[in-house]
Amino acid sequence: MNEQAAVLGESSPLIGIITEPASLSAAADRPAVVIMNSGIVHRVGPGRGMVRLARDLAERGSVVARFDHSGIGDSPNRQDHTPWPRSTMVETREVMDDLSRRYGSRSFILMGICSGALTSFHVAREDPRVVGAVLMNSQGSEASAEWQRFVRNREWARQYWTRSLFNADSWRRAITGKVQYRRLLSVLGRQIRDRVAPPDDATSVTHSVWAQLQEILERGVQVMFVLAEGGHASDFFDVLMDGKIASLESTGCFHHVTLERCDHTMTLLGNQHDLLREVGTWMDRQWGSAADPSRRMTDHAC
Amino acid sequence: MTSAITAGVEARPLHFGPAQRLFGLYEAPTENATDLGVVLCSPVGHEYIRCHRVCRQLATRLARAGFPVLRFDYLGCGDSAGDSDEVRLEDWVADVSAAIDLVRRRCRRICLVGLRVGGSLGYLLAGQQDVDVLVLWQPVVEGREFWREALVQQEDHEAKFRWAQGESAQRARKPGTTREVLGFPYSSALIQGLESLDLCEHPTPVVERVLLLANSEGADLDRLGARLEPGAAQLDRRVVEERRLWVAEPYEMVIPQQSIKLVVDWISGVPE
Repeated sequence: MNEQAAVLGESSPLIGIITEPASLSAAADRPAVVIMNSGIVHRVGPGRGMVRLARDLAERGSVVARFDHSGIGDSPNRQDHTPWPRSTMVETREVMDDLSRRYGSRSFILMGICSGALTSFHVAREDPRVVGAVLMNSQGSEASAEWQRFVRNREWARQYWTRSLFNADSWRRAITGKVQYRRLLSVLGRQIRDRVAPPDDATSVTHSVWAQLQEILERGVQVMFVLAEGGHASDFFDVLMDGKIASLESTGCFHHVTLERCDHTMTLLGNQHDLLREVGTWMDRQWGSAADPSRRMTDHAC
Repeated sequence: MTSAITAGVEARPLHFGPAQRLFGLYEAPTENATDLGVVLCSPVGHEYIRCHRVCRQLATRLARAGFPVLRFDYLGCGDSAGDSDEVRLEDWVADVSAAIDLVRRRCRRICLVGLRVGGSLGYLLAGQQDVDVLVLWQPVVEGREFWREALVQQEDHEAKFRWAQGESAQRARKPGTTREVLGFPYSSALIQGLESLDLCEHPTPVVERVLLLANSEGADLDRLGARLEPGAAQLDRRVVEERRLWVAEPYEMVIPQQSIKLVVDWISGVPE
C-alpha cells in the first residue's frame, strides 16, 4: 500500500490523499473509491476512521481517494459562486476525473458519512460511472424544512418513549420541574397529528427521494446504507423506507446494516471495526478482493 | 497539480521525513516571504480533530502575513503513516525535529508554534535544539491531567453507548492498544510517556522570544512561565478568555479569532 499527497480537482484545488493498493495492475478494472468529508470534519474523518477505511479498502485492491471539499479541511474556498451542495457534486466528479487520468479508473464507488452520504447519493444519480455508494448515516435528503421537522419529531418522540420513560433521572427531572414540558407536549402532540395526517410536504419529499433511490438501483448501482443504531439517520431511513424495504432488497442492489452502540460519526474503534467489516465484506462480495478475486459476482445487473 | 495557489499563498501537500512517512502541508507566500519559517505543532488524538480548523486558519493567516508555514501530522496521526498505538512520545518529538529540518531548507530562522500537546512537544524539542521563536498555546504542562480528562471523555462516551470499559478497543483487535480515547488508540508506552510528562522537569528551552498564550488561567501555566522567564530575552504571557476550543466538537466550534490574531500579530512583531 502506498499513499500520495495530491491536489485534485479542476475548478478549485482540493487537497487529498490517494491510497494505492500494492499492485496497480488491475486498478483500471476495479472501481476506484472516493471518500467524502463527514460534515465539516476534514478528510481523515471522525476518530481518524476514514484513514483506516481507505487503507483497509486499498489492501483489498482498490485505489482510494480522500479529499477535502472546498472550504473544508485544507482545501481553499472556491473563488466562483457555485453554491453548496452543487459545489460538492462538481468537486466529487472532478476527483473521479482525476482518478481516471491517473489510474484509468472507469467506475467508482462513493462513500461518506452524513453530508458525505448525501453527496454520494446525488452524484450517483447524475454520473453513470458510479457503480456503488455507501451511505453512512445519511439524513436530510431534501432541503424541505417541513420534512426535516417531521423526521426530527419522530426521533424526539422515539427518544421520549424508549429512553426517557425508563430512565430514573428523566423522571426525577420531570417531578422536580426541570423538564421542558412545552417541548415534550409539542413533540408528542405532533407525533399523534403526523400519524393521523402526515404533512403534504413530508409525504411528497418521501416519495421523491424514494423514486430517486429506485432510479439508481434500477440502473444497477449497488447501494449500501450504514446506520448508527438509534441515531437520527435511522429515523430518516425508516421514514424513507416506510415499510417497503423488501421491494428494494429484491433488486439485489440494496443493502443496509445497523451498527449497534454507535454514534452518528462512528467514533469508537469498535464502531470503526464494525464499519470496516461490513463495508469490506460488501466490497468483496460485489467486486472481489485482491486476496480472492474469484469471489466477485459475475453479473451485477439488478 | 502539485500545489494550490490562492490569494498569493501557495499550498503544497507533501510527505517528508524518514522514509517519507510524515504528511504535511507547506504554505508560503508566492512573493516576499520572510526568512522566519513557522512549524505548527498540532494537538493529538481527539483534540487534533477538534482543532484542525483552527490550526488551518492560523496557518493560512500566518502565510498571508508573509511567513512560510509547515503544518504536519505526527506518526500515527492524521495522514501520516501508522497508528498512534505504534509510537512513543519521543517519536513525536523527533517528528517535530524532522519538520524543522524541512523548513530550515527554505528559511534561516525557525518559529515553533504548538497548541496543547503540540505545545508540549515544541517545548521539549526547543530544549534539545535551537529555535528562534517559540509560541506555546495552552500547552499541556502536566500530562497526567491531560490523560485523566481524556479518559473521562472516553468513559462518558462508552457509558452513553453502552460499551464496557475497554471493550471497544478489544473489539477492534489492535494488540498494541492499551486504552482508547474516542477512536484514538494508545499503547502503554505512549500512556506512560503522557502520564509522566511534566514540562517543568525537562531542560528549559533557551529561546530569545517566547509567547505563552492561555485561554484559561492555571497554576501549571504559571509554573511554566516562571521556568521560561530566565532563559528568554522576551517572554510574553497573555491570557485570552475564549472558549477552550479543544473541548468542542467540530460542529460546535467557534473559531478563537482573538487568539489567532494575537499569535499572528505577535509573530509579525518579531524583529528580523
